[in-house]
Amino acid sequence: MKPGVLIISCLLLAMLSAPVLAAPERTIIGTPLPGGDFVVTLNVSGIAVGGIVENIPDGFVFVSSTHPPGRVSVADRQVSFALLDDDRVSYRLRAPAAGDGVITGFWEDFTAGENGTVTPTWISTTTTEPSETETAPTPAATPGFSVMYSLFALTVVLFSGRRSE
Amino acid sequence: MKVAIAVVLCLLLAVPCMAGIPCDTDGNNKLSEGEMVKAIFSYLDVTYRNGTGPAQSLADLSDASYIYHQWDGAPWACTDAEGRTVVFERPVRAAVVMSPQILETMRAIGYPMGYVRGVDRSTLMDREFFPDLTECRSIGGLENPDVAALASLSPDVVIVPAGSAGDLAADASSALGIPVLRFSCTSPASVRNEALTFGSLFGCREGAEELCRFLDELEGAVCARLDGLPEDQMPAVYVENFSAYIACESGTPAGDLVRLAGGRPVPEGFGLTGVDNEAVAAAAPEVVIKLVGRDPCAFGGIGDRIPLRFIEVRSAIGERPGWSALPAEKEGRVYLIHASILEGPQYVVGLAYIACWLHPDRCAGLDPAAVHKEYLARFCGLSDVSGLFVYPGDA
Repeated sequence: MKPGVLIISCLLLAMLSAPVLAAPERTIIGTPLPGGDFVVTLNVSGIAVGGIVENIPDGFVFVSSTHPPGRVSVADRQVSFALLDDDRVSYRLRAPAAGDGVITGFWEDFTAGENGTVTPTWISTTTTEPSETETAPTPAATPGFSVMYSLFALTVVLFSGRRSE
Repeated sequence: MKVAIAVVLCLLLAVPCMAGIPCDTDGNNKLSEGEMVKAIFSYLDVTYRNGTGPAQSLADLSDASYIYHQWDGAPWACTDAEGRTVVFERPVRAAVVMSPQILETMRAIGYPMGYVRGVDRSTLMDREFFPDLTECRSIGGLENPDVAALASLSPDVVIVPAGSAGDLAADASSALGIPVLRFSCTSPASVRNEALTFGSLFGCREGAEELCRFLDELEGAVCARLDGLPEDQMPAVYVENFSAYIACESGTPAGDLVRLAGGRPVPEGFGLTGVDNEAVAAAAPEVVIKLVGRDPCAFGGIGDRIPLRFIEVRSAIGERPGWSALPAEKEGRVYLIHASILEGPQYVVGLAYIACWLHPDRCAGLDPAAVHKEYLARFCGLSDVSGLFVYPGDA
């Protein structure tokens, strides 16, 4: 097989095997100024009945949430949200006087029988980045092969093909 | 005394399938928001927060989520085509289906075929139309159900065709304590309601509504073309069942479709009627439609690409005593049609073909083959299949 055809085939395979799952995405609105509040929003549309667990980094403090009070649970550095046909979940954090950290999270969709991790979000009180930071919408639970795996497979096939010539 | 008897009868009629809905902590058979939230937090706590408290299993939580989301938090009472009500307290994740039309309808609305654990023998043999039944077991036929296979599968429900033909299979399932639902999914008049009933039970409402919209659009397109058709322009149509000299009159799927397509089934009657050469000659049909796809005309359909048997049967019709004098023969209006496109959700395909045969001028814009292709791709997941469904006509 010609390498060009092989490459196109592998790329098509990679596209076909790309994730179709709409995992929750986390967005930070506002710059985390030292000692100031900022809002974290999770897009959870598509989860009929499920849950989210957010791990808050050291130094940052959970302040409040617009989620119905009975469906929020705070313990130590973890905040859990019960999801019942919600489109989004928002909560407010207070930044320390100085410092940074990473928000990590897990999600469960009990109706669809799926789960995964929310892409980690780095937050810092020292950054001078623009006021709105959005995480890359990379779903954590990715059924099928990844693009990297496909490219790796392509490389192996090409090398083995050349050796046999 | 009478009240007690009535209560017992009601309890017998509403057959509870399983014991209690999951996560219903107060036992009132209704899953409240509070109970659902508590179950979610218990699970998250144990799974992600090193909690040690009691938590529902993921399977129970999944079922509870389904009940909360699809059934408004309560057991679902499903009334079948024979008016019998079965109460479900868990989602149907293991089904046995004893009819290809019922299975086709379930697939068309989006019920996962992986949940179908057993089917009747003839359905299982139709691998080209049901390629996803690889893990499925045969449960025998309607007249000789495999009771041992049924018992070993222990499904959540067995769905059996309505009517006397399905009684044996229904009785065998009931005797094993398996809930039974009776549907047909064969008649154009009932297939929508049955699809919507399945949609509610199986959590496939959107799929059922999409299927109904598709059927409405196509049936509407045919009816619009036949709007205002004078009665004297409705041709007399002899519709013959798989066996020779058995006429499909009003009350059969094929007979009803002929009426819907602007024709008059002849000789006049109801249901399947035996006829002879004289009766057909007296009715002088302008069109003859012969059904194929089952014994003794078990050919055609998906995967069949050789029209030899179609040609043989078509020729044999013309050779029957006195039939060469029929208007239909003289004008070359004798057609063969595969039963799969007359029953179940595919009836709109058969309707389009028959309407084109009966009223070619009015239905010039209809493309039954394209309709069929679209149905197979959208509702069956079959994009690259071919076969013979009508003769003469499209392959």
